[in-house]
Amino acid sequence: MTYYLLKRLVAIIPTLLAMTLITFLVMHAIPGSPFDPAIFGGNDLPPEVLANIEAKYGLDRPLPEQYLRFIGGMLVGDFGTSYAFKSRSVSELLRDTFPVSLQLGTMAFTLALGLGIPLGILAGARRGSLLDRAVTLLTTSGIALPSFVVSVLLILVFSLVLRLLPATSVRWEQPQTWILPTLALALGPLAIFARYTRAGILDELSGDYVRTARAKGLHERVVLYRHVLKSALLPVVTVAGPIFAAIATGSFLVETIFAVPGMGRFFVSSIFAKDYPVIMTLVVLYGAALVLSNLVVDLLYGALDPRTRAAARLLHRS
Amino acid sequence: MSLEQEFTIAAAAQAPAHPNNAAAPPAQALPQRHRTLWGDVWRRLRRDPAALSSVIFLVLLVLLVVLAPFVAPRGYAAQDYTSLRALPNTRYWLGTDNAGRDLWARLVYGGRISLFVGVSVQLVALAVGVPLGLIAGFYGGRADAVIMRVVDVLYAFPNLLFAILLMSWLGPGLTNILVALSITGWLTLCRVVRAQALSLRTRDFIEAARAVGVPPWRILLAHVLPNTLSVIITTVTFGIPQAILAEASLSFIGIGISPPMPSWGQMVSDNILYIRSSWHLAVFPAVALGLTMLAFTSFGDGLRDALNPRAHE
Repeated sequence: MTYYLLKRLVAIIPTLLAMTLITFLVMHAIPGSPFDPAIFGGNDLPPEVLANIEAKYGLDRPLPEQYLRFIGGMLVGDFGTSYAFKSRSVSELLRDTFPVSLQLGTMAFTLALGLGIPLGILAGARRGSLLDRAVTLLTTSGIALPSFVVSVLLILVFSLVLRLLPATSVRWEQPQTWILPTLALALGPLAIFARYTRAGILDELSGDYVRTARAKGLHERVVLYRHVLKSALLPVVTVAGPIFAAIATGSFLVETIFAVPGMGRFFVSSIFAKDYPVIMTLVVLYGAALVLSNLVVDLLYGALDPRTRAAARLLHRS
Repeated sequence: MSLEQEFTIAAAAQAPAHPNNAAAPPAQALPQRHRTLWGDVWRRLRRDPAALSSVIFLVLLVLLVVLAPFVAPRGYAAQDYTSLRALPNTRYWLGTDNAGRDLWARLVYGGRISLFVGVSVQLVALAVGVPLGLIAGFYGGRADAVIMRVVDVLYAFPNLLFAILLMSWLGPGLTNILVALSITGWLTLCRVVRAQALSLRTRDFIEAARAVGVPPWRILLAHVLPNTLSVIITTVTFGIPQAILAEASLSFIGIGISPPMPSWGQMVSDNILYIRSSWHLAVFPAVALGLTMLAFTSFGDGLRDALNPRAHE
């Protein structure tokens, strides 16, 4: 098990390196200097001055050296200095904004799991009931509707018509501003969790072991929660990894709409400003989050399903 | 998908190409009506109210955007300075935006962009993903290894992140959106087609064709391809709304369509600031995008069930 974990962790490194390298090359292929005031509509700087500023940030060095410097700095936790928010290091920017995004993402993910799975179980256990049809309607719209469309509709209903909740979340210290962005971010994942749970339950309920359990005279509730649920949730665990990535990338649209002071905003503005260090850092963060969540999913999968455990053991022996 | 069903699909897909069927002796003709695969699919689709209303909505949408110059004669860029940010009224029945432009016209032309992007990206996906997937799955070996390596590397990137990076390199504009979305747009189709071709490769009817000396390219085109059609159609139907959403998201961020050309995503982000005083400016484009996404998704769901009716039981 430890060996397997180590092997998987080592395998992450080339993936992350490839992502940073592609990002680095694409960014440097964009013509123009990040310090050219023309980007912000300012007057031109004399070329010597521009060259001096670029030299200060190490942009006059050959590209391979710049890339290696960045990777080297990242290894010791130094992400460089932001070009757009001068005088502030990327680590400082992250310290202010990352907790907000993480909190929003965690709240949405928890809500999606905590509501999606029970709804899926109820719908699957009472197939064809009114509740089942309501859940199906919810999942279809949750999967189809983009998070920023949901955001606009939530603002319309809860802020403009009912006047219950604020339309923007600038004042993040007030908990009532958390509700709408969390709902907007959670609906899609919630729908996917509910749909997979329902399908898993229906699939397992038709199994022979369920007939045996019922024939033994077990209570339906015991059949459902003791026997069916564990294997029905396997596909849900599998999709949880990609869903985490969806929440991470979906969050910058939702954060922009509600003006949440998280890192999503920085990502968008850093692209316009050619803020190389910020872009690189965010790509590495999102990439690492995605790869790590896939790893956690695989480990959970092994813990839940003895068959994969056995298969993995066989695989390592050979 | 069951074995018999694949045979039915294969038979139905090939039916028109076989004159023997039509020339069968009349004594053997059954009183039953001749049924084609697409006839069956349409019959099942018609019984699904969600799918049917989606089809009707999509047909109307296509008509609207094709006839845009007639249904929205004011155009998307014409400004009326006497009517800025007007609420829906008799003259501008969805109101006007911040620059006095007709919101209805901008919605219709925005739909034109959305559908154009959605369909074009999927056409590229068909042209690239299907042949590569067929080759990778059917021939296997080194070709498979090379193709799948490329697919896996591109797949590891979060889709939207990759498109954003490419757009910041290419700059805004419709053509660049098509390029940025097409680069990753064929991956899913390629994987799906490869998986299908891989499972067909060892089937008896392919083996039989090989045994009687049918050349590989002909087996690929006449036997493997028709059997992958139903997954291709479903994947493309789900791919269109994904491309539409990607374009809307890019334009929302401000690196998609360049103004004054309208895009639903850009209209939402431009007008979200005024949502307190002029709610209609952000809400209508959001609703248009939402309805279109819903229609494509439930049409896709219906189509998948209609193509694969046994999956339900």
